[in-house]
Amino acid sequence: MLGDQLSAALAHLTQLITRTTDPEARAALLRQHERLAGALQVLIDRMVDPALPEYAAATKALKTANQLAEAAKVDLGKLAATLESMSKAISKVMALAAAVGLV
Amino acid sequence: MPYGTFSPRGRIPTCAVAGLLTIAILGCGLTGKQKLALTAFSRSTVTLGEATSTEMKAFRTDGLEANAQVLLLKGETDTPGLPRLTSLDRGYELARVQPVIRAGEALAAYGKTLAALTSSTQADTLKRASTDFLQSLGQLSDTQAPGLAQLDAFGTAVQDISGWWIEPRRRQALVLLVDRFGPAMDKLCDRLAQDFAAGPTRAKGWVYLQLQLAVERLEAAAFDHFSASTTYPARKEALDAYRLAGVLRDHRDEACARISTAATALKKAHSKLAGSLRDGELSLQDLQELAERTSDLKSAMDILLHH
Repeated sequence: MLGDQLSAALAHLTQLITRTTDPEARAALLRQHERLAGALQVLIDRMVDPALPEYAAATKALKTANQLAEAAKVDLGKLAATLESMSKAISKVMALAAAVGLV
Repeated sequence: MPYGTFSPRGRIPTCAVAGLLTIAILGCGLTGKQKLALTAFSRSTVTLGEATSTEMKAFRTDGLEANAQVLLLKGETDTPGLPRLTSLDRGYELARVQPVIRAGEALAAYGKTLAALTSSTQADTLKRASTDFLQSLGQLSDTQAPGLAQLDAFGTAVQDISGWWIEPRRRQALVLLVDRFGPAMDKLCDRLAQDFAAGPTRAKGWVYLQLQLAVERLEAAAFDHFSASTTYPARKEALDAYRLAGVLRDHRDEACARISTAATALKKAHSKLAGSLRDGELSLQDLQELAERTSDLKSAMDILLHH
């Protein structure tokens, strides 16, 4: 489910923020954290049809990003790849929100 | 005899017997086992209903506090949809939390009415409980509330409970209450179980997600603020906010999971109870099953109330 993937992604980003010592990486994580929080709020506000193709695309992209984030928590060297993957996933979520007229 | 060969003439006596049996069953008072089961169930229902309303109000306070702390630490956000100075209650607007609070109040009133109908000998107590219940139903949104005809029928049944004929009428009113309003109460349980769901066996509900959003933002902002702090007051401010995030997280995890689980258990126990009231007697197995359900519920609620 999209809500659970968004929830996991937000928790992963919080944990990465508290683990990284690189100020630039933390700033990038904080920006993504805020964008993801905004996306989650939009989807809490209204039910979205899970049958939409954008829903499946967003869920899949978040799942991939979450797997990378899980790995980055152990190996911070994977942080750059995680940020890139998370950025793509957030774009998919926002595309879904746009498709249903939420943004 | 197969249904296809059932003669129309044979139906009349069968229907009559069934009708007489129903009258005989409903004409009697409650058995000891039924009273025990009803008492345990009604207590659990009151506890879940009251805990739900109390926790939802507490979550709103938690959410507003977290939003305020994030604003203090980070200033205004430019991300659309997130709380701003002028919308500190973002995600916890009254229109959003009130239906949940009222659902809890309706469940509690239902439990109190069941308890009064089961054991009270005072007509005033019965009438007060039923009036409170009907009023709580009137507060529900259109999609949750039963129809007016059902409210009237139950109100009339309770008004009739008095005098020497009290025990059979008590039972009739209980059957009417459970039959007419049980489905609406089950829907409320479904809604609470879904709204408060904390995963992983069920998709997370909006109450959990909304609190997660507030807590994660607070934790991230507090950590970042602490890392950048160079003075004691700044570090203390960040540390206090970080601790607050931990407290709110624990509250969310404990309360949401327990309310969701308890609502599911209540619905299962309710169906068992409704069947036993209609059939006239509870078997030992029924009682055990009901006791297990209400015990699940009670242990969850005990932890919630001592939180």
